[in-house]
This record gives sequence, C-alpha cells and structure tokens, in this order.
Amino acid sequence: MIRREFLERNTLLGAIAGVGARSFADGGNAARETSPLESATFVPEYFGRAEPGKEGQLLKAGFAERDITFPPMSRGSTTGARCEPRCLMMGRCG
Amino acid sequence: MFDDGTMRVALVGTDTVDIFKETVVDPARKLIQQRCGISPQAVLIGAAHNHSGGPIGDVQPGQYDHAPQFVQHLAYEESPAADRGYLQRVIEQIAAAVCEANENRAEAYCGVATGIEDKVAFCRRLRMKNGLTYTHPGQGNPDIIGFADPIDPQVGVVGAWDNNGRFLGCVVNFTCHATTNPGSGSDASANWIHYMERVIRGAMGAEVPVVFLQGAAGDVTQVDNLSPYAYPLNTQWAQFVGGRVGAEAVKELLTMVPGRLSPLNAASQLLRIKPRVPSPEHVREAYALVRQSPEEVGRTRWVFAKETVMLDALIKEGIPEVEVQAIQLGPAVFVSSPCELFCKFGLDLKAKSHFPHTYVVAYANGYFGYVPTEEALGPHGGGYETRLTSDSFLEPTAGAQMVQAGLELIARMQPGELPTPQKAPPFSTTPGGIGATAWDYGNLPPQLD
Repeated sequence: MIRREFLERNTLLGAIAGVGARSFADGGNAARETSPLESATFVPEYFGRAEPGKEGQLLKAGFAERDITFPPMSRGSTTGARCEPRCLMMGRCG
Repeated sequence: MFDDGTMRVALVGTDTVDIFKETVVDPARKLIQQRCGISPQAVLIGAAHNHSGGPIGDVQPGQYDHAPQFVQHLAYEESPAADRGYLQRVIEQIAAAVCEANENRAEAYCGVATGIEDKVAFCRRLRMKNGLTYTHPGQGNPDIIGFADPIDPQVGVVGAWDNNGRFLGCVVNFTCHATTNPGSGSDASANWIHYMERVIRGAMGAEVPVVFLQGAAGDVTQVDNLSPYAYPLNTQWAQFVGGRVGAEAVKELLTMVPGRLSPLNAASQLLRIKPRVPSPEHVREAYALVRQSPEEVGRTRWVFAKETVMLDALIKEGIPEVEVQAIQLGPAVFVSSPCELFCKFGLDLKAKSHFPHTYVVAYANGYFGYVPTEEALGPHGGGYETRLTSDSFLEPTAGAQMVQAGLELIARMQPGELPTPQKAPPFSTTPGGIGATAWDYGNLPPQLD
C-alpha cells in the first residue's frame, strides 16, 4: 500500500500510471462473487511438501512497511536537485 | 525480520537514493535496539538508490560545518542537500517498521531462490576507440567498441508463508540503478521498484510487503548505449524494468521450496580505507574555477571544480570507517557495502562465496560514493564515476578490500540446508492413476489395425 501511495501522492495531477495501481489492487466490482478457483495469493508448487529436514524449528518472520512520502519542499524540486551533479552533468538521469 | 529463537536479524529496504551512517543508519539502529532489542550489527538498512526519492542524500546537515565559509556555501547552498526533517522522518519510520515486523513475527515457511533477468540492465560504461572508457557515450556513437563490464542478472528472492499458506512478504535483490524516474522525470516516486512490487502483489496478494535491496549497481543502469532504437518514455521504462524483475521474482516465489531456514547469523567489519587525495595544484585550480560563475567556465567544469573543493574539505576532516556486513538466512547470505560498488565486485564476491545463494547489497548502512574497479581508474579507464568528487574518492583498492572483508565474514558462517521437496513415494506396480505407478491407460503398445 505504502509504496503505491508514495508513487501516487507525489505525482502531479495523478497523471502517471500509478493511478492504475489503485484500480488494479482494489478491484473494480466488489459485488462480484469470487470464483472457487480464485485465491488471494498464488501458492508455490511445493508449499507444505518440503522434507522435514534435520532438527530445528521454523523461523519466525515478520514484515512491515512505512510511508516515507515527503511533502513538497521549499527549495523546489528536490528530485531535480538530487540529480546534480550526477544527472545534470550527464544531461540525463541514468 | 527473521527470528530463529536465539537471534533476530532485520533487513530494511528504503525507497531512497542513499543513506548516511551518521544521520540515518546509526540513529535508526539505536532506536530499534531501544524499542525492540535487536542488535545494531544484525540490522541491515539498504537504499534502493532511488533517484526519484525524498531529500535524503548528498550533503548532510552539519557535514561541512568544519569547512571554510566559502566551502560551506558551495555545499549547503549550491549542492543537493538532505532535509533535516525528512531525515528524522525516515529514521522514525525505519524503526517503526522493524518494531512492527518484530511484533507481528510468526512461524513461517521460508524459501530462497535465484532467478535471472538479463534484458533490463546494462553497463553504462563503454570502451572507446581512443583507449579510454566513457560513461554514457551516447547511442550511435561510432567510437564505441563495446561494454566495459558485465552486469549481474541474478534476481535473489527470499519468501515467507504462514502455516496456512498465506504469503507474508518477500525480500528481492537485483542490480540496476533506480533511474527510470517515472512520470515527468522529476516527480517523486519509488521508481521502477514500484512496478516490481505491483507485479509481485498481483500474484501474491494486494498488500504484501516487498523489501527491495539494491545490488552492486555502481555502473549498471537501464540505459543501453548500444541499442539502435529510441528509448521508451520514463514511465514505460520503469514499467519495463520493474515488471520484468517482478515477474522473475514471482516465478522464483512459485518455484522455491518453503520450509525451515537456519541458522541465522550476522557479523560486520569496519574498514579504514584511504582516500584518493586531489593534488594541491588540482585543488588550487578548482578554487580558481569555482569562484567564477558556471556560465563563465561551463557548468560541467564548474560542478567538477565545486566537487573537488568539497572533497578537499571532506578529506581534511577525515574519512569515517566503512562498514561491511554479512547477514545469513540459512543457505543464503546478504553481504553489504555502503558504496556504489561497480558490478564486477559483486560478481567476484558471489563467485568466491561458499554459499549457494549470495546476495550483494550495495548502498547499505552508509554512503561513500562510487567504488570503481582498479582497471576503471587505470590508463584505459575514465568516465564520470572515476573523477575525483565527493561521490568518488576511495582508493583504487577499496572494492577489493570490501570484497575480501565480505568473504572473511562469511567464511565464519556455515550455509544451512536448502529446503527440498518431499520425494515421490516408491514406484508401485499396482495399477492406479498418475503418480508413482504406471498409468494403466498409458502403458499399452500402439495399435495399427
């Protein structure tokens, strides 16, 4: 969610393709019944079918993300500023 | 965040251009240790090298306070600079994310796999007929001989699922500058990494976290100087790079075997690496140039002169130690460097590693600029990354020193076993369906009558 917002909320007039990500992720028709063939996620071929292995326990894993979107800055385009010297010197970013 | 019961390690990816140790990494690690007790040595904080991210890189608050007033003016007023408030926001959000991950950690089936994506990234340095190497010499340039160095096409993926097969998230490692800059080119975004994440989420779940760790991309970008065709627009380019890397990551997530990963390990080493010092004459000339206007002397000359003056001040203050870190997840190891390592160093490290899956993370735990190969700094080298600037100043052997340090760290670690699929049951001659028996509709001779 956050990386998508990071893209969208900083985009002038929402004019870039990140807008498409919203409809992509949110679904266009909430009333539509879900097919039993659909699942929220693809499951790997071998999920639940690994050899038990030697002694030991499963790892615990945790994931999280945070928004680091920044507000407009007073010094103009900070990303443009970022690109000097690297990008201005080369005449392009890359 | 991964926990084996005796140790916890955290892998943090940020959609930033680079992160400095003193202003982001150390404060964030300190908060993490205070709030959830994870050792600083076990926390890897990487930057995606996102050229369309927030104001976090280049000149840091207070970095040139020791320098003469004129140099301070060049650094703080004439150069891209980090925003103090934004730095604090990133520190807080890194700590908050790690602590939330720590809180919600649960038993997980984890897997590791490495795919290949070789159509989106290119060495941006090319050998020229004059015997030198140039950065971005331009499409169609008749003096180009060929690419100076290889790329690293590996897409490293670590995935995690809960007991019910619900995807918890993944870590992706790939080597390509984040310089596609979708939108107008100056819009803020997560760059091509956004589209990589979008593809992964399309298959694995709309809200799943994707941690991206950039590889040794110092000389690797999306730009193919040998392409005869016009380049795509920025957003198309971002979709192309991110889409293909994301698709490869999905393929590997579907192919890997989720199971037990162990052991966990973390180690780091601080290196005292000498700088390349601009000569007194070079510094004098730079001062003379930069006291004039960019219009008078030409913008490129002026910027390089400014950089020389700033580097001279940085070196006089002393170069901090460089942290090389290794974090092991069973059969995989992440080796990090706080530099824009040229790709060849990443390939060297991988080739010499005894781990089946070795992932190099550049731009991590600090920032010390470009680290070119010794060849690039030699008589047939050259190009943007090899000029003496505040973004390129470590001695020619710096990359080799970091590779050696990384190898020494992982030499102390023993790779864990890669989860393997259950074996098929023994073959049976009892008639039955498809499986470990012959299909009784299929084990028949042909008929011609």
